[in-house]
Parts: sequence; C-alpha cells; structure tokens
Amino acid sequence: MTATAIDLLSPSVDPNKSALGIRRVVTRNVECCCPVMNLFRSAGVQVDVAWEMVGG
Amino acid sequence: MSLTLRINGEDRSILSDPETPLVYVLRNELKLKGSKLGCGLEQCGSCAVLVDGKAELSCVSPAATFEGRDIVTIEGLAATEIGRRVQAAFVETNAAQCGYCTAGLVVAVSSLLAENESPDRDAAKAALDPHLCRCGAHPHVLRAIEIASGRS
Repeated sequence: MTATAIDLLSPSVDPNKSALGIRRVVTRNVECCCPVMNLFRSAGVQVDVAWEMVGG
Repeated sequence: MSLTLRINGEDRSILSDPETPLVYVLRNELKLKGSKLGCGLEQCGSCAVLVDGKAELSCVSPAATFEGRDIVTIEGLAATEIGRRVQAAFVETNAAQCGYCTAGLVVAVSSLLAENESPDRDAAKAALDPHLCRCGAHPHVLRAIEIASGRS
C-alpha cells in the first residue's frame, strides 16, 4: 500500500510522477530515524512524498 | 591525532577519530544536537550544515575533510541575518511538523537564499530535493521561502 501524505495537502499533485524518480525509489527504501517515516512503516504503509509532487 | 574545526565562528579541538563522520562529532562530542542523523547515507538531508556558506550533508564525510572550512550548524544560524529570517518564516508558516527534518531544511533554505535572494517555486523545490519530509510539510516550507525571500 502506498500512501501519499502530500495528496491531502495539495490536490494538484500528479500521482503519476511518484513512480518516475529513481532517486526517490532509492530514498524510500532508506532506513531512517525520522519518526514519522517509521510510524508509517510500522503500520505497513509506504509514504512517498517528494518536492516535485507539491502543487502550485 | 587531534583535529581543529571552525564551527559557528569558533575553533574547536576535536578528539574523535578524524574519519568519524562530521554529524557524529557535532552531536556526540560537541553536543550540538540540532543537526539530526536521519539515514546516514546522504539520502535524507536532516544532517545538513553550512560549509563555507553552502549546505552540505554531514553524515558520511569524515570530520577531517571539513578542516579549514567554515562550518555553521543550525545552532549558529541564528547569528546570521538570513538564518534569523528563515527561522522566523518557518515559525510563521508552521513549517515544522514532527521537526526531524526541519534543521536540515532551515540550513538548506538559508543556503538557497544566500545564493538566490528571490527563488521561484521551481528553484526552491530543486534546492530542497535532497531533503525528505514525511510529515508533508512541503507546502508550508515553500510558503516560508516565499516569506523569507520577500516574495509575498
């Protein structure tokens, strides 16, 4: 399951963009101390948020 | 082997192994806890510090590689005009949510504004691309940049 938190904040997001960035594919699999990333992970949710996804 | 680093305007003698990544030296030896260790792989941006005025990640590069360079951490940014402006804009826009990535973002935005006084949204997004935020604070951060740069 992939949740995109930014969708909640920015309705102009193009969800197709999320699959295109190689760097993001790498970073989404990085173990990170970020508590929010780990909160989502513990619930089995992968959050995919990147700057180019922000509308406006 | 001792090492001297110039951090926030002061020369600091370091006892850690010179091969220790800078962020560990900052946090563990110098007790400058503002820079966060996120991924340890230069993939998340939370460890960013200003080095000679530009944002650099500190979780991989050995401390010795920063010798002779001017390092400013988030703790030292308030002493700069741009740093104060960026911090105030982040507060005004509630750009911090959990806050883990915020120090790196403030450093990156300060570096951006030092190079480009009035970046447009695309330039801001490009500058912040190395920084992950999983709270979804992105629109607030972009708004903070607009305020700090006087675009709104």
